[in-house]
Amino acid sequence: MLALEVKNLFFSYDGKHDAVNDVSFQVQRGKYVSIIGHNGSGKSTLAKLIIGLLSFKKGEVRVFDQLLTNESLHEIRSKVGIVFQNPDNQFIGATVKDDIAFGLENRLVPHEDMEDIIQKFAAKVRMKEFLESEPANLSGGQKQRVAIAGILAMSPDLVILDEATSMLDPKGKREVKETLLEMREENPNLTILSITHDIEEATISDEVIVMHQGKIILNGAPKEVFANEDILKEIDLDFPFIQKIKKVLKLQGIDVENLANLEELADFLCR
Amino acid sequence: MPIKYTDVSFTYNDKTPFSYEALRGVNLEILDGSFTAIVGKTGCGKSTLIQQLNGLLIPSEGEVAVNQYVVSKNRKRRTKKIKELRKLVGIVFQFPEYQLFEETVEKDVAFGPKNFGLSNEEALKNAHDALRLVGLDDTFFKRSPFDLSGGERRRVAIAGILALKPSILVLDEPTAGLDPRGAREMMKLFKGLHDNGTTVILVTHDMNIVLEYSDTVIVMEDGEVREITTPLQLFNQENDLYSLETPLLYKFVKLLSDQGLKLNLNEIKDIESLGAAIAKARGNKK
Amino acid sequence: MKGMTLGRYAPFNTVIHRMDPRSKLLMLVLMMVAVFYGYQSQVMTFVMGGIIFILILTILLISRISLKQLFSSLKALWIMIIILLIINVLVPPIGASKIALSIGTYNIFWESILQSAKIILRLVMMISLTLILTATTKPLDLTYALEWYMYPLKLIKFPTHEIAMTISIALRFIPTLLDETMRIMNAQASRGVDFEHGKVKEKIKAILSLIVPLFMSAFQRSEELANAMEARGYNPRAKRTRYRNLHWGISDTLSLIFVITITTGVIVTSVMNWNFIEMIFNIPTWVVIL
Repeated sequence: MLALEVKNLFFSYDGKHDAVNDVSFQVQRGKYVSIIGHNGSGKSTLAKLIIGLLSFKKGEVRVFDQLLTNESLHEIRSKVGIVFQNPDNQFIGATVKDDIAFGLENRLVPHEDMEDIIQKFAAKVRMKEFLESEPANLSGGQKQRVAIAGILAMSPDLVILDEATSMLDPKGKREVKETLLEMREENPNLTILSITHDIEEATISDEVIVMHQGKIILNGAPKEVFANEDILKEIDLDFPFIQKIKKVLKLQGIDVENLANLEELADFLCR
Repeated sequence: MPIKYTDVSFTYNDKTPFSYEALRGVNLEILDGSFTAIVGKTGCGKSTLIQQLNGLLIPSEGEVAVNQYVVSKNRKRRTKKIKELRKLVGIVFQFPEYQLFEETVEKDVAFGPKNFGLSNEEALKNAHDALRLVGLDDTFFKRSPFDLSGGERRRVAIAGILALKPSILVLDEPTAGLDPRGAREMMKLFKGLHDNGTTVILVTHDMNIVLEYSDTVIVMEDGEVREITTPLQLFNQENDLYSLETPLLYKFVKLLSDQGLKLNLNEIKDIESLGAAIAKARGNKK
Repeated sequence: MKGMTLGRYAPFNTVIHRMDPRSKLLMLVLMMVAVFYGYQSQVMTFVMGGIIFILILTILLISRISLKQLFSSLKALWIMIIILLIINVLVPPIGASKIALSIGTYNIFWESILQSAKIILRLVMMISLTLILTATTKPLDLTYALEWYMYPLKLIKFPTHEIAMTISIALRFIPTLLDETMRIMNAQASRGVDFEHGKVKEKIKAILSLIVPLFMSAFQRSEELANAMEARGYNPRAKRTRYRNLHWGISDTLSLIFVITITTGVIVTSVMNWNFIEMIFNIPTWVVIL
């Protein structure tokens, strides 16, 4: 089943230059897809278009087979959760509890059910001790985990992360990544679309989409995508570490093409 | 003259129920012309430390000496010319793009120099030079800063400090939130300045940058200076590295070392040298 | 900044703290009325005033508000108090006749002193009452109480929910905005801005360099927040359930009844011009006003 299908999508902010230029792609349910590309390549714009925060004139977006229109907005948004980049600018509640409750209130969850849901999802992101904390006393990583709890509490089928770790320190990045992995393990049917600058993260996702100047220029499994060295070099995009290592080793006469990860590589080199 | 911290302590909100000791007994020297990285977990006191350099904060105890200027609570020792110090030491804070406010890019960059007494023409000239230095050409000068992209705004903000021609440049997480290419270009800019004689002090979480650019590393933890060392020595330690992230390069080196392939760490600075070192070690094994 | 609480709220767990903010708000209004009612006889004014004052002091004690807190709130107004004193002394009330003190040709009348004392007492009580409310009630809870009281306005399509939501978001962002202000000030100070000294023109530039970035950042924040709220299904006009419910308890009912009684008593006594002291002790008034 297709979680997401985008067909010939066009969008322009100023009417002159297309921020999203004829973009088409599909995402199967349960897959973890990374979207990478420079700032300004259209990644975030694409995310906002998918969730209907921006309206497009040309093209089609289908979420779990439902066409995105003004009428279907509300219903589609109930299936999709999005975490934005700035931890402060998506934290609405006065405390962690109130913030998680915000989404529940919007969706008319009965008052009697709210407390249990809040406790459950705060525990999932390991923020249970902080339920009464105010955002001013939380770190960026903690706030992002609360944001994740907030959207998970709505049981979405598709989660979009718009550079959710860009503004975090290494500890925060780690915490959020661990939370995401746990999320995936618990719910293998959950589809994740992650807009990121982290090349290593892209390496471990199921699929990688590379965007440049509003267009998708590469799309496929990480290994395939990163094999396109010329294209990636031309747009000045980084390569995964393992690929860089393999390359320099090749120059030294050591052929390690077929090894999948760093552990295998180390193993081979030490024999 | 080196920058010198002597027994510096700093407490926020002293004598209130909210008092918090951010720095404790800091003693360190930063040499002229060095590229020093200051690292440590969030909350270790890095930001507090650098704010003493231009007198934004005054030590609760101890003193900071920068060239002939002294920042100290002691009125007799304290320099009267704090403003001059702020020209000598240029500090670029995190997410500096949030400080822009003028109508045009060139006016904003010229704002700093004008505050230090330069005439309008001189200030604008410095502004133009600084803007070109950060990679923004003449087409940007008369545009509104609020029309620019985030990355461009950041460069304008940095130009605003560079226009003061500081001999000591302090940068607090200058690459935070930038994409890898943007980060690379930014670091190239700072390296260029360093090569031209500017002392660069860089507060960062990115250990790859520390490894690639700095010659000295100051490690802080809980308000104290734990170590002053070189990147190589820092990353070659056996211990848990103060919960700092290990650069990928060194993670792999450790992986190899655990499996029996020991490399000469002094020879490894980047990917290419790593490849060469591996080949050499394997050759030696045979 | 992060450790501080907003306004005067002190996080204790007294009976008053636990009371419903709606009852506290209503009682504040009623007590203010009681404080302001005047009596024909000076004695009555002071006796009734004294009773209410003792009542207020008791509540202050129960809510664990330190006298220090009270004094610091008064400190802000001491200038006004001095001015009031001076005005009252210089312009004695009509019919003033009993001289208390003579400074040269100037006469200070007892009536003036009494009048000033009355005003000061009222002021102190007003401030204490307000302090009781703000020290025992979180700003957000006050907002919920206000929202509840504004409910009938919904009938005339007044956007009560939107206003309450706006206020609660603003409250949540105050610490964040304060931090940002500090950061911008530091950044501009590092560019040579002097926020304390300088000519008028420079000071204006200094303030601009602070306000413009704050505003621009606030706009960006609002946009991102609006996106996040919309993406989470927020529609101010649609029906929503509520997580936080206010709980009206026994203490609220009892306290409210008590306060209503007092206020009614005050109003009735004043209107009917009953003089308790005379009635109880059968002392002629002229003796009392000495």
